[in-house]
Amino acid sequence: MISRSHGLKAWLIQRLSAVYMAVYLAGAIFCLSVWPPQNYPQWKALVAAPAVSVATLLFFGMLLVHAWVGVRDVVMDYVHAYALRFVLLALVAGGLVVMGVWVLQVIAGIW
Amino acid sequence: MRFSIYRYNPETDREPRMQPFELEVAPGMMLLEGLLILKQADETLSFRHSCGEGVCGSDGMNINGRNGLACITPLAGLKEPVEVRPLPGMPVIRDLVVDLSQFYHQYRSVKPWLTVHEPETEVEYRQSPAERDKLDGLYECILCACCSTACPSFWWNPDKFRGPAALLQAYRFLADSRDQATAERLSDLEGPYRLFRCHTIMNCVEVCPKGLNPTKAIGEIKELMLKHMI
Amino acid sequence: MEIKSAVPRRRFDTLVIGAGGGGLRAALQLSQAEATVAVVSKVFPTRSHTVAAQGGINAALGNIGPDNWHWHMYDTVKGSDYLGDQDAIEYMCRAASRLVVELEHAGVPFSRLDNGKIYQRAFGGQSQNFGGEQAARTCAAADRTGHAILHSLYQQNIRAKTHFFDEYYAIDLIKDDEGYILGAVVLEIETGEPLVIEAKTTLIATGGVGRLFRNNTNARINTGDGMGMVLRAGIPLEDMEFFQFHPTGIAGKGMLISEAVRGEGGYLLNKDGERFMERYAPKAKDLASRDVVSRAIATEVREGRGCGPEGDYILLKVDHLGDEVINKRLPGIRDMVKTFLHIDPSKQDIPVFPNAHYTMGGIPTNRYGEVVTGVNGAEDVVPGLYAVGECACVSVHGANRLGGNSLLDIVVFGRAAGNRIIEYLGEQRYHRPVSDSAVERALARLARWDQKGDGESVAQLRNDLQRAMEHYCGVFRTEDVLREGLEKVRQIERRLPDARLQDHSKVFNTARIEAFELENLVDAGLATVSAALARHESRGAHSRIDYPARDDVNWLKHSLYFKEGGRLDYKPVRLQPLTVEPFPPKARVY
Repeated sequence: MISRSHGLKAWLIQRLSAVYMAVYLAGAIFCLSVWPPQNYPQWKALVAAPAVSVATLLFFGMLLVHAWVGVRDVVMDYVHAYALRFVLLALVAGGLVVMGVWVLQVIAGIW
Repeated sequence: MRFSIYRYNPETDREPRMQPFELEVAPGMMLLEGLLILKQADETLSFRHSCGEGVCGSDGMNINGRNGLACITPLAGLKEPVEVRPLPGMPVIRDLVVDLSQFYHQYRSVKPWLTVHEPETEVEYRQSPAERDKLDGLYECILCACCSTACPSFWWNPDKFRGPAALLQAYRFLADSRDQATAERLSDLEGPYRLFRCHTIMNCVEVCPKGLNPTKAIGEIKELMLKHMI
Repeated sequence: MEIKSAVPRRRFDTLVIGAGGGGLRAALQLSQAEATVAVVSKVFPTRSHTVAAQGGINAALGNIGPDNWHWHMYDTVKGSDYLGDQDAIEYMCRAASRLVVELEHAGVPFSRLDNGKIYQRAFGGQSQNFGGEQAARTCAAADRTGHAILHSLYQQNIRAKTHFFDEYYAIDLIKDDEGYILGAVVLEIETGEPLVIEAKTTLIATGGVGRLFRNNTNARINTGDGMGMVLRAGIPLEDMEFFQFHPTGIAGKGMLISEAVRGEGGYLLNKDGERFMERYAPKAKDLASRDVVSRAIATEVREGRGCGPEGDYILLKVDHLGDEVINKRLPGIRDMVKTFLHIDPSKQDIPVFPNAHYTMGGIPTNRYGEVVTGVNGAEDVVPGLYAVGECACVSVHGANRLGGNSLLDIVVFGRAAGNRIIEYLGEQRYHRPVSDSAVERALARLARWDQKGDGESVAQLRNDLQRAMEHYCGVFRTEDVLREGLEKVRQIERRLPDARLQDHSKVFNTARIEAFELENLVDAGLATVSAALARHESRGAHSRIDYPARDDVNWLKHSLYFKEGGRLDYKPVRLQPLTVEPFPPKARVY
């Protein structure tokens, strides 16, 4: 689960995902404050726009990866018993996958 | 001036205790001088010390919650009672003396020596003043362990995380224009633990008695790794 | 008997006692030659006192201006006030450049010149052309040269897989009936347990004995442990009356202000703002030899021209050098002055006074690092025993050491001793047997401090010794004062057996270590005062008010002090160099 080459990669992924999330959030806040959707159909139309839905999907993907690296770091720092660490990381991974599927469902439901 | 000093002798004490001391303090006195006077009265009080001027790195300890060298810590500015404890996170041998084997092990692990693959010249290797300047702030480390024992990441993983002192030395050789082992050094530091347990908490920078900046050095190593990857 | 043999034993080819520059340089030579080496040090190696050397290491690289080893040799002989052995001095000065380059290759971060070569600065007593213009011969890593060298040597030793016994204290040498030295009994400080280290060869590199004096520039570990061990083994100490007082210690505190400060252009002022060194050394001024400058400062203060409310110090002026030179070349000094005096040297002058600094004398050796005992002419080698560095007396420093020659001494003779040991190991294939009785003597020393009860404390005796040495054996000496001093130190020696420890625990008992150190200090103190009392002349660092002149007819000779009966003997100075013409003694002016 934690291979030797994963130091730099994980660190890099965390930084890049953070940058993407920051850009996405800044863009989202800007757009929503300039053109605030007035009702549900407008919301739906906005999210259904291909660019927006791809960007949003990417955002949640990044969020999940970012969370994975962060939580993995915390577990590696504090949880030294390998069995317990395995169980915890498996639970976290499972939870994150479920959340990912859920996000996919929501956005696919809009299309 | 009032002191409260951590005492523990494994031969007689079941657990450590804080012992109060009282001392007449002369102006300009450093903590080490105070401890030495206390030791004259109670010779069982144990701590390491040698040069008394902050270059040998023997007397690192935790002073009012902050790691530092006793010999260059003026008593005048300290809150009373001055709480003196051993460096945190390391096994205590006795009183203020801690077992630094893990710290030294991590130091050795970064291969802290100049490595040159080419045949040796009969004269000095040339190095411009600008190249030499890059070693300032790196080579001055005195291995007092104040930084690494102030680092939570080192507390949790002292066996796997190199710690700020060793990483500063790793960068000291990466930054040396004469050294030819950059790739090996970088690949040695790969992995989730050795380098990447640093979460830029910056306690190391805060406590370094020589004013060095291990966090910055760690950042530079990451940047070098990135360059090497690309 | 059973108890004795219960002491664990380890076997190595070579035992090195002391992990400063000398010990580490020798250990490196040996480890690279694949000898098994045990380095025993009472502190972690990088805490050894080499770390505190500031200014630099001398070598006639000629990076700044013309220079060569022969001029360096002349300066060293003259600096030694002609008491240095000229064969050893030639050997050292010839080897200097090569060894500095070697250190650079080992990683030492020397400061650099624009052309990429090693930076060199002017230091006291250096000249071009046998006494001509000031030379710049001291290779420097800012003002942290000792630190840079010690750390690099330690690092190279880790690479060479030298075996370190960190925080082990050497109690005594093991000597068999035929006079061979076969290792030492050491004490693991952390556990308080003794250990016998058997070795075919033993190298002592335990440093000087600056802690003899109350005001000194030395670390607290500089207690002459190797000197004490050697004296107890029946071997004499050489030239102990020559103790260097460094002109510029921080007044009243003792921290060293490197000669580099004057090398970079700083100078001394008395209370009238006069640059008084011009009177004492018209040519070299503030960069005269250390003995000359120290005497000048002491004289100014004695004659009422000292600074401050008590008139008891001199000022070292550096503010005219400018921030750039101070930050670039003297950063350590700047930090130290700020820490201990709360002043900024780029704005205010530094109060300084001579402080005990360096032991020119020590364990008599030849230029191969072999310990020798011969008295008249022929020198007998003590088989298996070697010494290098400040604890040894080759003698390359004679009556006064030049700044920048101590770091050179340790690497040159560390390497030379390493090479000699390798030769010896080739001849001695097997360990000689170590009898229990030889071990027993050392263990007795350990047992002595287990005595319980009331008695004087180690700290009390040490304080008395340091005060006595400072008062009776300082910069200026006379017969009466020295005689009184010798009696005082003898009294302390007599009080020593009644001293008691209060702490009898085993684990990391630093009080017990200090007790062993005190015994060594007392022996070195007796050697120093005895030899000083006997020498009826002024030479180098040994200034007798009652014998103000140098006396080459009667006193151009090395003194040898034996512990047994406090006996003194003498041996001639080796005036014949290896290949060049000798430098005959002449009047010494700077």
